[in-house]
Amino acid sequence: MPQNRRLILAHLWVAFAAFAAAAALGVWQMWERSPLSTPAAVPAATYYQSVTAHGVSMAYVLTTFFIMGFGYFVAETGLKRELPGRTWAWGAYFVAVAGVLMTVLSIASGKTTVLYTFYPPLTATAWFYVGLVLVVVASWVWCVLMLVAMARFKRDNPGEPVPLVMYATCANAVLWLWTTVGVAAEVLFQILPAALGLTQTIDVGLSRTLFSWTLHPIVYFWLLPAYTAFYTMAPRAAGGRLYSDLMGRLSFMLLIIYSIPVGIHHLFMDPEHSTGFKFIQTTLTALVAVPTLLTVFTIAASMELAGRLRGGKGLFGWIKALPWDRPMVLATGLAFIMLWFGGGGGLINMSYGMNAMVHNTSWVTAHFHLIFGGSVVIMYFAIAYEIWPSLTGHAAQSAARQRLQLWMWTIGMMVMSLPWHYLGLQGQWRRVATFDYADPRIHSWGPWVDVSLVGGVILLLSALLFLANLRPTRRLARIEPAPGYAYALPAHPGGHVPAALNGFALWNVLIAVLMLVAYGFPIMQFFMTPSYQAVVHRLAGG
Amino acid sequence: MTDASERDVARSELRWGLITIAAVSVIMLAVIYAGVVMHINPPSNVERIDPKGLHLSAEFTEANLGTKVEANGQITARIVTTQFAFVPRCVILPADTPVTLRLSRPDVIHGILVSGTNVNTMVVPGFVSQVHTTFRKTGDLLMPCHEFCGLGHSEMLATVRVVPKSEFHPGPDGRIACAAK
Amino acid sequence: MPQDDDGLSQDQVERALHETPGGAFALAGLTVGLLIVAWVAIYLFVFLPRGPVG
Repeated sequence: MPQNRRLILAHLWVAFAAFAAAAALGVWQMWERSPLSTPAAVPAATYYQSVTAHGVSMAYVLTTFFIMGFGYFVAETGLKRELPGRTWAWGAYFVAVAGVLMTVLSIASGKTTVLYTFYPPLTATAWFYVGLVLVVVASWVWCVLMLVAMARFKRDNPGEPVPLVMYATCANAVLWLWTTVGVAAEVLFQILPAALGLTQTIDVGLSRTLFSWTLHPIVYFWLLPAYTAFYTMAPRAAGGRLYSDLMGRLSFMLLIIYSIPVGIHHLFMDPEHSTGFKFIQTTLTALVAVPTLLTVFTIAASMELAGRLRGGKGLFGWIKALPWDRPMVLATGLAFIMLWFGGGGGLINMSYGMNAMVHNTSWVTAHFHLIFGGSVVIMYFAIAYEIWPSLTGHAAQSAARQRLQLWMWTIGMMVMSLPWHYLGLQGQWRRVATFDYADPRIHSWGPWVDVSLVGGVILLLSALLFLANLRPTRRLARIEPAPGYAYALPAHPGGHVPAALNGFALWNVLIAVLMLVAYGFPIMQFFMTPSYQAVVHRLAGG
Repeated sequence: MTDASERDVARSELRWGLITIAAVSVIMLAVIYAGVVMHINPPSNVERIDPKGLHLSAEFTEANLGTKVEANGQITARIVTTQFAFVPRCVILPADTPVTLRLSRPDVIHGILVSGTNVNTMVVPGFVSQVHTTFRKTGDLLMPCHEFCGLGHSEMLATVRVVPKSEFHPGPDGRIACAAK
Repeated sequence: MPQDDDGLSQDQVERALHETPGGAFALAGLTVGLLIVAWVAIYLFVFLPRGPVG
């Protein structure tokens, strides 16, 4: 049982509570904008309040708290050492919780309907942003603790490679430190002065560009723990080993260097950047697809190894031989199915001119619900199921109930998001509270919106089942869990790991160079040529 | 032996890596072809304009909005997006002819798409958004504001009326507006 | 350490590695191939017909 189990559980419960509340809001939102009548008509303000809460909870609270908690688990069980700086970790936790309360209460006040992307000149009350700043600052403490833990391991174990699970987790910490610079600059230097009334105008081109710096790599921050489970948990759960530890390390490094300098692909349709930089970032985005495709192969090979160890024969016989009754194995398979659709949608989004076909339509909403809500979050569930017994000291809920929850999540996600892809191509646009279904151009969308809603309801039921599966009940046996956690071994243990894949020095340099090339001029241009500023639109009045 | 086996692993990963690069290259080549040969690029005309004086600017003053055929034959539709309406709410344009849309706004971020086409652009305070296109099909196409711009976002809708070239008759000053239907 | 021992012998692993990664090539190749085909289909039949933009 990890020494830090209380710290870890504290983080995970906040993450999952926010998740469940946001799931309920999501379903309500879908009902509101469907052709089905609702008991009470609500004003647009309430709808957008809900959208803001849903986005902030799912994108900032579920993710950051889960990643921090899982990271603390990995630091202890992966390195087989106590976490350094436990007091700092608890301090950061309380700062983060305070931040969440601040942001949630400000959303409840109705003065922050800016959505989780909070694009200026729409400006919320300062409390909204300060709350998010506190969460980010707490996460920076987590980053430092992860890197300190890894550095101390290396100092005390010279010549020994850092276990892949911790290397990947620290890669995520390095990624996050680079990622948050953009939004931190936007919030501290542009938005907070505007929210506090210190400035009356704001450079919108600059703020969108700074936010875009964060907007892409943040999704890789969310993704990396799921990939960590693919590489270090799924192979062992399947009864096999990781096909290539070195490729795993390389893939994580490629993920971090190519996920950071690509934010302008969120700005393809923006008028403040030229085709030149948009094309450079298209190319870099195509490169970030590579480590995902490498992962598909390495994990498939690891699963194949496991299947053949269990007697699977022939080109595909190993698939059937895998222990699909184990939730971690099932979740991995379902995650890859959703990755085909979600990743495929992403390839279209990134394809430069093709982005014009889908920008700001329901296609985009479909893409990120499927890839994040689907492939990534299903692995968060699987990780929670895996580590829960050693955290709580209770046996896990039956595997059958876990599998049911995972299947419901996948089916719900597909039923919800596939119609959105179609509707997006029909021109259905985003962030709408009500559609006029009487308009003949919109009328045919109605039935598909209803189908989507059914998917959403299944997801909510799955979310509630997830919580029920975690809740310790008297009927579950108390257990004495084995110390630590048994991560997957590489197929060839004891191999030599080059220094470049045991640290981050080279990769930090590459990131700096790529950022200079990809974002140098796009940001500097706002300081070189005076831009016209927009008037701040404060929602809090004044 | 383990060494040979490890080399096999490395070789297989390298082979897959090459397949991956080939797959991604197919996409990049198609993207470049679409951009260079078919003229499909993200609208990226970087042009600054002061949002605070928009209604006073020569170009985006109300009398100059809507569709106009310039002296050199170029067809341009000028639209202002505000919270929460398009001015004008309907523009009329001919099919199978190169046309240009120019949009700007005085207040917050908006964005537009024209359904069934590749016309899509953000409309950001401080900049003019310019989109060149050729409409292939006729009809009353939906042009919603697709970026959250505040509480009235859901109602912010316009129409692009695409008519066959034979029905596109601008007046003597080059202007043409949507007739009431 | 007991955790590290996953109960498999290196011999077992080597035997299973004989046919690996043929199955992975097949599965990954098929799925990624289908992905590219789907992308090209949308490119040709939905995207290009919608006309130029720039």
